[in-house]
Formats: sequence, C-alpha cells, structure tokens
Amino acid sequence: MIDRKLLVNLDWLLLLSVLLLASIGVGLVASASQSLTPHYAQRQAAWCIIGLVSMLVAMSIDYHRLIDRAVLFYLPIVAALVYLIIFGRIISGAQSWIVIGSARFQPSEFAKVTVALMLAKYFADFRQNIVSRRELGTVAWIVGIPLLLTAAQPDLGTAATLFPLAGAALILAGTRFKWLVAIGLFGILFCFASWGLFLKDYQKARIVSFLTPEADPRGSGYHSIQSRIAVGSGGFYGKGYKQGSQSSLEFLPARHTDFVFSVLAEEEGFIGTISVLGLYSLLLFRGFRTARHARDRSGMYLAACLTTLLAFHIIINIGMVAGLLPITGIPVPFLSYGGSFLLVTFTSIGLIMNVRIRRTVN
Amino acid sequence: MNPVNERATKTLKRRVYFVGFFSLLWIAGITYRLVDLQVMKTGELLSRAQRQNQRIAEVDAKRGTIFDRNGHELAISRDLESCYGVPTEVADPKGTAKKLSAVFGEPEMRTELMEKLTSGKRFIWIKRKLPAEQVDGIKALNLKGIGFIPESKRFNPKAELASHLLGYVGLDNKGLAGLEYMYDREMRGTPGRVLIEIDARNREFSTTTLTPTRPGQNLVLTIDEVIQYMVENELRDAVARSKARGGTIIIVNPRSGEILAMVNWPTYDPNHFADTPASFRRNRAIEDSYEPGSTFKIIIAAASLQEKTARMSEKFDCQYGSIEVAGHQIHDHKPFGTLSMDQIIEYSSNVGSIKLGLRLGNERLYKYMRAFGLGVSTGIDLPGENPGILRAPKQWSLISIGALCMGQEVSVTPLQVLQLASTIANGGVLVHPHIVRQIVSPDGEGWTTPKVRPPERVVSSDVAGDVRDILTDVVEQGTGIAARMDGFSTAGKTGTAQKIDRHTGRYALGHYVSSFVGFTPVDNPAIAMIVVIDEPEGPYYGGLVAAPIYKICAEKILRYLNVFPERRRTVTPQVVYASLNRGTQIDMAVEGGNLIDMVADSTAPAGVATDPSVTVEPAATRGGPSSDDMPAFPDLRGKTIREVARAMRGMGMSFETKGTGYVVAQNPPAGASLGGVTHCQFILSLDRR
Repeated sequence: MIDRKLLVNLDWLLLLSVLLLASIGVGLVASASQSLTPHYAQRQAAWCIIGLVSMLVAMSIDYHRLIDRAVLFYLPIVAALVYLIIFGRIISGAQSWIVIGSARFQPSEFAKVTVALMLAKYFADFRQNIVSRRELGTVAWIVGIPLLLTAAQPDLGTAATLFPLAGAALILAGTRFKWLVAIGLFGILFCFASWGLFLKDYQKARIVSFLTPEADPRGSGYHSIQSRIAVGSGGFYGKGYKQGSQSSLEFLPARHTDFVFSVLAEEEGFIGTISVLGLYSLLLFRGFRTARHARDRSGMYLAACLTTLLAFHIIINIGMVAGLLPITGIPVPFLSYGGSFLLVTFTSIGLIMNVRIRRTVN
Repeated sequence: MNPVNERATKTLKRRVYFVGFFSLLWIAGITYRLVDLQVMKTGELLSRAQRQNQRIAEVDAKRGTIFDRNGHELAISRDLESCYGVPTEVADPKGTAKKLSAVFGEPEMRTELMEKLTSGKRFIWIKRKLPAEQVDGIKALNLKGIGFIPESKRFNPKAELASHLLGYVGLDNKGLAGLEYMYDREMRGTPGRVLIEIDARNREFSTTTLTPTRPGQNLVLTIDEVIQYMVENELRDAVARSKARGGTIIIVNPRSGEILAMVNWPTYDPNHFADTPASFRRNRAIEDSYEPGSTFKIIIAAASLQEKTARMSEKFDCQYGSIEVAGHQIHDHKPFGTLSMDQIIEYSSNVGSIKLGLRLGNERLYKYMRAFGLGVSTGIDLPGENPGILRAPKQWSLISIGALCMGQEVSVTPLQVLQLASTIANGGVLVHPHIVRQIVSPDGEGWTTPKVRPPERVVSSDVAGDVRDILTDVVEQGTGIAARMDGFSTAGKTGTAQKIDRHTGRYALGHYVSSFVGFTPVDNPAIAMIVVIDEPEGPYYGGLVAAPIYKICAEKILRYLNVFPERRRTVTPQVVYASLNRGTQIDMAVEGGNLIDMVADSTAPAGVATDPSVTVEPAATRGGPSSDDMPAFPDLRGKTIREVARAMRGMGMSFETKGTGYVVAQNPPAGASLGGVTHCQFILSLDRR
C-alpha cells in the first residue's frame, strides 16, 4: 500500500524521536514499577510494538480516505461512550473502560483521533478567512458530544484534552479575537460552574492544593510537593537509573503513569529532562512543519490538530510534574504507562507522517 | 489554485506556525522551571528529600476470629498500639532508652533500645502490641521521636479453654501452633502500610493509611464451648485425683465426624504461651501415640465377624489364662475357662483374642487395622498429627500377631481409637473427624466448608450391630461397668496398656496408660468419647480409672445436649412437674423421688434422631368425641415419657407423670377437646399392657 516513492518523504527525524522516546519510556516504567508486582515494563514494550504496527497502518492508508470516512470512526466511538455511561463498570472511580476478556480499552482515548479526523473533514472545504457562528456551532457539536460524555464518566482530564483540538481548528480556520476571548471566558465560567456542579471533593482539593501546596503537605498537596522534591533532588546529573530514592521509596504517587516524568527528573537529572524536552520539541516542530507543508487543507488541519493534541499532553503533564500546573490525570506521550493512550499516540504520529509522505504526490 | 485560495493557504500556514510557536513557548516556560528546580534550587530540595519527613511502616491486619459451633468467641483480635521510634528525631537516645525500659519494667532492654535509637535508621519498632497501661506510661513521658500505630493482637478471652486446638500466635501475627498455624493463611488477612509523618512545626507524628489492612477470615469450629469447658474441668479433677501425668478426652459426633470437644491435660494459656514448657502445649489427642491395649480388641471382634471366622456365641477354650505363641507364654490378667466369642471381648481375655486373631491370620488382621484407620493420620484439620505406627505383615515377627491381639506392637493416637469406636457407633462407616465447620469471610457474608475425606464403609452394619452389642455388654456387665449410667445405655471398651520406657525400649513396670472408649446412647449415638489417663498412680485398669470419667462426662454432655433418657433403672415412683416452653425445659419442680433429667430434645444436635413415632392424631380417627375447631387430645397410651414430652411440647402444654415406663393412663383422655387444657397428667408403668 505504501508506494516506494512515498518513503522519500518519510520524516526520519520524527520517527527517530518517537523511537527514542518510546525506548526511554519503557526504561522509565521499568524503574518506576520496580516494587510493583505486574511486569509493567514488559507490557509497556508490548504496547509499543502494537503501537508501531498501528502507526504503520495509520501511515499507509491515504489520509484522504480516512478523512472521508471520519464519521464511520466517530459514531462508533460516541456509541461506545454512551454505552459506558449506561452500562460501564466503574474501574478506579470512572466508567472509562470497555472490558473484553482480559483486555481493557478506553474509548475516550480513541475519541481524540476521531475528533481530529472529523475536524479535518469539516474544515477541508472551508475557504473563508474567518469562521462564522455556523462553523463555531458545528465545532461545538463535534467536540462537545464526546467531551461531555467523557466528562460524565467522570474523567475530566481526558475530556479536557479535546479542548485543544477545537482550539487548534478554530485558530487555523480564523476566529475573531473577541470570540477566542469569549470562548476562554466561557471556559473559565465552565470551571467555576463545574466547581459547584461536577467537581468532586478530591478535584477541588487538587486545585486548592495547586494554589497553596504547603497548606496541607500531607493531604492534597502531597503529590505536588513530592513531585517537586523528586524533580529538584535529581539535580543536574540525576541520582542514576533505578537509584531514585523518592520513587523507589514510594513517596511518589502514580509514578509509572502520570508522574513518570518526575522519575526521569530524579534519576537522570536536568540532563535527562532537557534531552527529553528536546526530543519532544523536535517532535512538535516536525509535526507543525508537516502541517504547514501539507498538500491540502484537510492534511493541514489533521496534522495541526494532532500535533496540538500531543503538545497539550506534554505541556500539561510536565507542567504538573514541575509544579507549574494543577494535578490532572493527563499522561505524557510515550513515557507514561498505559496501553490505550500509547496506541492513540502512535496512531496520531502515523497520521501526521501520513500527511507528510503524501505532500507532493498528485 | 486560484489567488484567493493561495492567499488563504498562506494565512493558514501562518496560523499553523502561530499554534506551533505558542506550544513551544510553553515548553520554554517548562524548561525555565526545570532549570530553576534542578539547577538553582536543587540543594534545598535534595536536603528536603534526604530528611523526608515520612516513613512507611507495615502493620498487621486484624486476624480472623475463631468461634465455637454456637458462635461464641474462642480467639479474638484486640486492638492495641505498637510503639515505634524515628531515630533521627530522637534528641536524647540515652535518656529515651532509659525511660522506655523503665516503663516496660525490663531494665535489660536498655542497651538494645539504645542500639536501635542510635542506628540512624528512618524507622524502628520499639515494641509492638503493648498493653494499654504501658502505652499510657510512654505517652505521659512525652518523648521526642516516639509514636504509636494501632495494631491488633491475638487474645484468647477464655484463656486455657481449647488451647491445644486453637494454638497461639507470635508477635508478628503468624500462627505458630494449632488452628492458628493450620489456618494461618486464611485468618491472617493482608497487612497494610502506614505513612508516618512528622509535622514540621510541632514535631508530632501523624499517621496516614497508604494501603489499608484487610482483615482475615473467621473460623467456625465444630467444638461446643460448653462441652469443652465441662470436660476440661472433669479431666483436670480426674488427673489430680489419680495423680496421673496427663490425660486426654475427645468427644465426637459419630454421625458427622464433628469434634465436639478435645481436651488435654496439662494445658496452658495461649495468651502467655511462652511461660509454659512446650510439653504442656502438645495436643496429646493427636500428637501422642500409645499402645492401645484392649481397646484394640474391637477390631478383632469386628474383623472376625465380618470375615465369619467366628460366631458370636462360639465357644473358645481360654486355657486358664495362658497361651503359647511362637515359644512365648502369654497370660491373661485373670484365668478364664471357656468363653464365648462375645465374652472374650467383654472380659478382655488375651488368650481368647489371640485365638480369634490366629484364625484371621496376619493379612486379614492387617487389612482391618488399616481399614479402621490405624497407622495413617485421620486427616483432622489440625497440625502435627501423628499417624501412629502399624507395620506391614512382612515386617512382623512370629509373635507379632499375639502381641497385636493384645493391642501391643502397634501405636495409635487417642483420636484414632475414637475413630475406631465411632465407626462401630456409626454402623460400620468410618467418618473422618474434623474440627472446622466453616471459614467465614470477614463481613460474615460468604463462607466455605473445608474439605473432609468422604466416609468409608469398613464393616457391614450387621457386624457393627453385633460388635455394638458386645461392647454394650462390656459396660453392662464386663470390664467397663463403671461407665454404666442411669437412663442411657453405653457401649464401650476399656484399655490398659503398659508404657514402653523410652530409654530401654522395654515395657516399664508400673507405668500404664488407662483408657476407655465408647458411645452413648447405644441405639442412636449422640456422642462417642475416649478417655485416656497417662500413668495414673494407684489403680490403673482402664475400667477403674477411665470408665468412671466417661460416665461423669457423658451424663453431663447428654443432659446439655438435651438427649432424652431412653430407659431408667430406678423403679421408685416419681412425680415430675415440668413446664415446657417452646421446646426448652428450664424449671423443674420435684415432688418426692429423684429428679429425672427430663428434657426436650428440640435443640439436640444432628444425629440425635427425633423419633417420628409420635404423631398427634386427630381424634376423629380415634373415634372419640371432638369439637369441630379444636384439635382433639391424642392417645398417648403405650408411649414412653420421651415421646410424651415431645407431644406435649408440640401442643405447648405442661404435664406431670407418675411412675416409669410406658403410659398406662392419661388425663385428659384420648379424643377430649383441647379447649382450655394447659396441663396434663400421665401414669406410667413398666408393664406395657
């Protein structure tokens, strides 16, 4: 299916950074889960291989064909999310998982890619310089349905990752500044409203502890402080692989998933964090470059939306680990343990590559 | 592409870079933050990590409770506090060690504590599971760097009660003996982890549960606390009376194999198990083996009858007390002439038994010994069971069969002998004994039953019935007469075995094991019991030492179990007024004569048959006058007092009786209306009309 000509345009730098990040991820998960019973590192490696296959598949089918059939991906995911709300089993506090035998899937993760495809499809033929209310409304529907369904699971973190998709699409399509401000204000209002309406006590506590972490160092501020201590104590050179006392002594919570970056920071120091940040920057740069040089609008929207999605994950997660942002359950691409998310990340990269390799083909 | 589109695309490209630039701006911000944390502030944060104010301690889960069959607690877990120290926070290790050892009342602990407190570790246990007064004492000292975590400790509220069965638990929540050991995995639960933190300002510890403990499962035993207690008292007195070295009594429900009580002397208190020598903690009932002596003759009788090598009434010449086996003279305890087969067992003639054994031959005798469970463990769910010793015929000497027929050259545990007797009681079916009824989840919702080996038929029910008759005669008129009791017939066998000197390997002169094993009532056994007395002083025959204890215990247990007396030997007329409320009879007034243990049996355990022969029949079938609505009074003539009591209970009436035996007259008469009648009278006579 892949024309040999296509490989000429393959983004080797992007591929290299992805492979490096995924390998680092397996190593970090191995270090972070030393004292845990399941072999998380092996599973992570297995998911990486599945992810690579998925990436190749996502790359090989012409993205136009995928975008044309975006609805075929979008509707089943929405159906799955509805199913979860009605019948979903609650696993660690949310109805996020579809369990088939021993395998578990998070439809909300896959929603990210399908929403990106839908947005690309919708804006492919949009030739105005600026969006009108009609486009705004359509974007609100496309993003809003899975967003609200995911938020109701309740999984606010994953739901929030759909916002940047809408944001990227609207910025690309051209939105009046006042509308962007209005959307921003609406978002803030939504936060205030959700304080009273949706947020659970633990979520409120997280925000409070983000604002004043030392007020309750053993309670809700715990994660934030422990993470900061771990990052800071790593210093410039780090304590060495599998030598992190913070993480091995289990002071660090969720250290193989959401806080895996702090394990990196503690064990590999500033050298490690800046290298990984460099790889991420390269990845994002190549992603946006792909968008810029895309053959058509649909490719542009697809690549830009997906790269923004990855950027959002990276920024929110590392910002959280570094104590810049409040604690949310948003994982960091390639490093955090988690099958569905890894699969979705690889697929996104595959789609971005897809756009790139077909940029010059007629 | 047209120019408009071209322009639009350019704008679009610009916008793509705007989004990209915005993202990379954030990355730059994060990089700045990482420089700040990892380069600028690293010293401060590193020292903070090193003196992390948190320690993690593992705490034991609450151990499951052990209940008796009626839900009474035998072993529970009590909430206590454990004392820990954080050496880096202890300002004055020397003074602290001194003060602590003073509170513990153990000055010798001082150096050990001193070592711990100066070890520089993050966390140490000072002492776990402390009594409340010591906790208060330490708390009052207000020591720096010392804190407490709640834990639980095993506590046996009834001290010695059933101690050999329950066993004991070490400080680390590990079962070390008995059921605590056997079911350690089930009862232990899952330990949890606690985060201990020091508040930066006031230097106080606080604890947060990281992983909560998961309590262990509960055990429900087949043991009845009341029976266990009664029998423990009796055994203690009996051992003291006969100045014996020790003793064992086991009581089993022969139908179900459920152990109702298992008692040993000497005993110990599991709460302070270390204070007693190990020999006191041994569960002799299953761990000690002895030569069974004459109780073994039950097997010879059963095997002979099953194999038809002898008939019940067949006569044997007992050669005036002496027989030669492979060149050795074997003697009886007293010379007998001609005895029938049943008499051989009844009078426990060695010569007769050997003759029976020789007819069976080695192989067949061995086969039955195995079938009755000798030489193999009974499979009871207690640790350390001794299978006893039973050699295969290949290893026998010429004299072995002679020795075996007297219950020598074979060693058994008291439980094995009891299993033998209860097989006879149970009509020839061996039911494996067990002690745990249920394993119940902590919330009491789910439960499982431990697996018990399936019952095995050893001899036919006819043979078992014949052996039962022989054993009944042993008690009625043979060596076991001291076990005979009013109201109940008992089948049993005495045993008196010489002990083997451990050092010389020869029979020790004057050291005996006296035993009695039997079951009561004969026709429908509610209990089977073995009494073993180890080295009594003075009289040592099983019939003299063990049989009376059997009687005392059985009488009490049967009364407690509400087993109705089946016959009475005293013929003195008596009047008993009994008020029967919903089946349980509590108050009893006696007018002259002896108190009859007349109790209703609705609470009788499984295996005590409730006689279905008494039914309250409507008067119409009897042809008597009756009102339409009221049930009529039944005809109880010809019924026993037990049947009467059941009928009365069924109607919720009180009654009185005169005489013993069977009902010959009743008031109100048969078929009378029951309206307003609450009290009835019966006259009983031994002659059934």
